[in-house]
Amino acid sequence: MRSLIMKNLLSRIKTRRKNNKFIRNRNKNILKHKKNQNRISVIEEEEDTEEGFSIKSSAPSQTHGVQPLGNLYLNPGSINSRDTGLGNLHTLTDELVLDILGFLDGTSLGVLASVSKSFYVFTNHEPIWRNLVLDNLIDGFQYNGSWKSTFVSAYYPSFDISSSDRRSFKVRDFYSDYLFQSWLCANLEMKPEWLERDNIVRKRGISVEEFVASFEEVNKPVLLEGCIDNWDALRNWDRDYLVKLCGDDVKFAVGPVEMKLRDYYRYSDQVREERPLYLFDPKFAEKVPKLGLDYEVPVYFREDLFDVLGNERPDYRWIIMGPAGSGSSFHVDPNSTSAWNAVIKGSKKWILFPPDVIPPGVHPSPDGAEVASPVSIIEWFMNFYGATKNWKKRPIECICKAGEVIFVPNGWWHLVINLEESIAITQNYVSRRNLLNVLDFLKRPNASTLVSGTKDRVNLHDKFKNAIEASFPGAIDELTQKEEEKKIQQRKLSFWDSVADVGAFKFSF
Amino acid sequence: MSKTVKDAIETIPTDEINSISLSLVRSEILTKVIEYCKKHNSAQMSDVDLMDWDVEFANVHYTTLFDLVLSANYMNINCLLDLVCGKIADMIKGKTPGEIAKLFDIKDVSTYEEDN
Repeated sequence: MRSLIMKNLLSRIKTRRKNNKFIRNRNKNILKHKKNQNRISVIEEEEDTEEGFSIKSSAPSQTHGVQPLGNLYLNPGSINSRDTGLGNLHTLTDELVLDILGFLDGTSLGVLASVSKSFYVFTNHEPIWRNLVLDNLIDGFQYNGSWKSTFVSAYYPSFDISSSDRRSFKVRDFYSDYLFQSWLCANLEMKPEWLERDNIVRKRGISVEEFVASFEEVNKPVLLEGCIDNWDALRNWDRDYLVKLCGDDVKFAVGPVEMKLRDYYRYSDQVREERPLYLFDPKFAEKVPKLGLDYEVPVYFREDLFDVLGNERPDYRWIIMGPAGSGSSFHVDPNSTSAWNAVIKGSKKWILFPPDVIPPGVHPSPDGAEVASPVSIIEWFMNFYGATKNWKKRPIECICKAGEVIFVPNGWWHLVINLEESIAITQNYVSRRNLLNVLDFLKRPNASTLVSGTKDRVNLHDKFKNAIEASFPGAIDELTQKEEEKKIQQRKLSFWDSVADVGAFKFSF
Repeated sequence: MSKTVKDAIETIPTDEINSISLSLVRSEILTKVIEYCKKHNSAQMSDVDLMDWDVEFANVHYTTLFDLVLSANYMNINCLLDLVCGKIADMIKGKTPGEIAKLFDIKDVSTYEEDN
């Protein structure tokens, strides 16, 4: 097997807006891109060497024969057909070429594919076709082995895509880190050492009071075992049951489109890509009421003050279904709420950082509205997970399995990846402990961009505050007073701390 | 409008800023970029007029367009980048493979079929 030379993967960055739309990424620093000459071996076998990576055994053989740039530098005298086949366009980076192709329709892409080997490879880059499908087939799609095939069979039904597409043509002498890395990240397995650390506190059968005092009030994550054992969902929810229950008339939100459950499974069974789509629907219980009846909110989370808004509350509960490799890159939950996430089937790897620690490789904008981070979750693991081993500010990590519930306190950064096909339910909520935080958040001047899950972003603060006053008169004042008292106490403490420590300089909070 | 410039300004203390280095942008191209930014910032034109202005602005030789793409990318000006990428894409639409090869001066027109 040819070995593919690549090290220290390219830092490909995407930016994520708070309301969950991904902005096209920009490789800002062209110099950095060109300088990135690469030197590890990626061995195209299922071997896990010290420096190498393990490719999924079911991975299709390297699409089109793209090699990383490192291989070019090891073959002196070789010419990169990428450049010769692009003509004057070769001065642009791969990302910029793809940006341009992103403006083309299916027909133009088809024509362009036959201009040169280079254009053939570029125009077959699956994410381009994924965007075409997601932009145009918003009522759902029938995945057909690849995004290109899916789009072509929907828009050009008379074109026989099956005969041309199944044969994946190879090109020689095409070197590109960006395109190679895209394939690599789509086909890498999670390394065992990324899954070893499990340092979250686990509790079983604790009282609500203990939960509030030990975790909610102090804003600490915890994994709760045994608290959803009575859920019908745990017993019933398998594919057959769900497909039968939901039928063909209901469509669920999958990224920007809505599709039937059956069609979603068709996609998730076949897909092999960096960031697989996952089903994430905030109206699942409205669409199929039985789904809402198959579970109940665990006892620890039943106080949810957003209830006072009734139907006008922001989105607060989601069903999440996704294949292995799907998940969510680092983010903080919206509206300053806390959350719980219960796994019904499958398993999820979680990595959490406290509010004041920005995860390595993640760059939030000053106002928090945008977060830039690596393109795929695997990429974050490959480039940044190692850094957390020696950091003093280590993250909390765990694998959450079926029947377990994780509590994510407000403001905590978290990343989640499905280790296998998984189904989960998650809810965001506001308890008394968190009420003032949430009100503060909703009051911010840029609420119109930051607040999410509702169409009425600007007015949500006032609506919520008024509704709380109506249902719990005096509660806000009481809580505010308590907060003030706490702050005074803490200031007093730190004063006495410093007075007692004569001669020594001590930090206190 | 340029995120790169914005970030530079935000990270360097204001009294230390005399100039921001944009080493990858040639002066003629920078002039065009500034022209674009000024126009879009002034917000005096209606959306339709601005679109027409954009079309005129992007009506340049494609080598200038490539330079604009690289500069808009480097300076992180998304709307300009979209404009010029879209313009290049327009140049591709509707052409035959031979015409596209001629447009971009592609000498190596060997295709995947020859490798397979």
